[in-house]
Amino acid sequence: MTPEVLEYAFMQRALLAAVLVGLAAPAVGVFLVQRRLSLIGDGIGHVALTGVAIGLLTARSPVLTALVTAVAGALAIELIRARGRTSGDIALAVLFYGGIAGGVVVVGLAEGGSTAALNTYLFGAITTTSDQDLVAFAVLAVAVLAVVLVLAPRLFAVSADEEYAHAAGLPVLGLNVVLAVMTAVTVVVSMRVVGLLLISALMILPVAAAQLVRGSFLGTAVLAVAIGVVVSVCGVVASFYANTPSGGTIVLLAIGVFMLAAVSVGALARLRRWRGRPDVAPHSGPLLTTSGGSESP
Amino acid sequence: MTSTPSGGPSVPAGGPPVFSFRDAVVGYGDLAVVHAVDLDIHAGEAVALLGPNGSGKSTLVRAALGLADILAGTVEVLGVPVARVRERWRIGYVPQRHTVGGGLPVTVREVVSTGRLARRHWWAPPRAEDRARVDEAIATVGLADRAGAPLAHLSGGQQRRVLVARALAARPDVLVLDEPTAGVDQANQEILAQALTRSAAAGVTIVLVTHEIGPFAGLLHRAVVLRDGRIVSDGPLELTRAGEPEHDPHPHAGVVSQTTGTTFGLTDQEEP
Repeated sequence: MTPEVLEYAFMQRALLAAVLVGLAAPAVGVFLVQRRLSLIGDGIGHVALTGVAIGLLTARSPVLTALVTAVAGALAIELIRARGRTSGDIALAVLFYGGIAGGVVVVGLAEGGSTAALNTYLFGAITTTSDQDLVAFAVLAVAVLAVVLVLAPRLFAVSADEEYAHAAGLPVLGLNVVLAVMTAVTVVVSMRVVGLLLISALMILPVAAAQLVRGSFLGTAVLAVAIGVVVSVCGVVASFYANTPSGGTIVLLAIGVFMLAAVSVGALARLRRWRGRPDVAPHSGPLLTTSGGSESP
Repeated sequence: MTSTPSGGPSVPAGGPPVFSFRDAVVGYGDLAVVHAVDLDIHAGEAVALLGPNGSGKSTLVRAALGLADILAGTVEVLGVPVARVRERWRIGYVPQRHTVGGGLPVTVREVVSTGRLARRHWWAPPRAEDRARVDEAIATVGLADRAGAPLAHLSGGQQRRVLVARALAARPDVLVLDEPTAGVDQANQEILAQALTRSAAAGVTIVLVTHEIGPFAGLLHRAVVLRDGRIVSDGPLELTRAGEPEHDPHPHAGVVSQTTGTTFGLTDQEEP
């Protein structure tokens, strides 16, 4: 017997989209957190909103116009950063406000356009995802995963130590641009599931939770992707039964996982101190302490 | 003027120049830090670049690594201008920082593995040789038992050794180390010196930017002293110590250049 949630075609599409987003968002997010650029996804999401509005104005597919605008915004932010004239911080701020303002103004120009039309893109409306959208999302998500997988060692090297990567002859600007473009594509893939305002959360929160309990970059990345898939799928299912918006439900679940991890790690550390056991870190595998006592020369 | 030391018992016969600065003005953007420097560092040499903070010694080597701007003159690396160097893995770089940046946990092996990337095709997974070189480099700096440990669980001195291992993993012909002993305790300095001595014995050219020669005295052939962005002394290294290292906060205070016969008591301001 099929569970009720799988009986509807729109829910089947929604769950497939959730899996794709759950895989892609944290896979890109680990490199963003490593680079301390956790908020770039948010900035690109804002820019994509202008793209959605252009799609509504010109009666083209909002997915396509959002993709073009988001990629252009991502390229702009990396090139501005590389030139070093404007700080990444200010470049992000320009994108944030420019993207939202552009979206609102452009949608106002559309016939009968109102900001209400943007709501489904801002917060996600997974049940309205069409077959055509789903095919586009699947192709894009697989492309993102393939690129990230192949380039992972180099993306990691640049994210961990950009100066060294440059000295070692790695194409630092090219790799940063690739990461920015992958972020933009992921934002567009995710806009129907979690929405442009919330997508950054799904890139960052699973990573934030995973790094609390893992001691290696690879371990963090694998666990983050697993958390991403679980919260996306569970979030979509929960939103079906509780009749809540999918994006917000997924993000609240991700926050729940993060807080659970933080509280457990803290409690475990206190328990170990209370037992008076030497707090020596294992050489590999799960890292159960966040601070204290383990630094030894 | 030839920069190749003419005397000194331990100076090897000069190989081809690894780094060649000609009338080089180097800095960042519009700001010149190093002025009109002529300097050759030859294959097989072990050279200390000495000088107080702000003397331009780091900037000089950073120019050769493509990390600082060449404002005038030429800087050649392995016989070609810096921008055209293809085999950058041949120059192993240990930056001045204590550790790698980034917001996520990384293990010792993960950091050292990035040292192999410049020698790998971008699509190729690591081969057995890559893994063997990474393990070898980690063992060389005495951290074999911590290879899987998160970097953050290591002391500052151990983290410096991880960055040295990362540079060694590519099996470079040249090692450039920027202040590898700053803020590193005596025991870690000695392990570092042993690792460098082994590399030098294997024919690796060593360029050491430093405040203090300290534990590297037995390894270095030549000292180039910079002040205010200019070379003020260049010659075989001879070290005189006023006392035991732990009683002498500035062991390089008695660097004597045989070229000029002058003693340079360097007044360096230690970083906080």
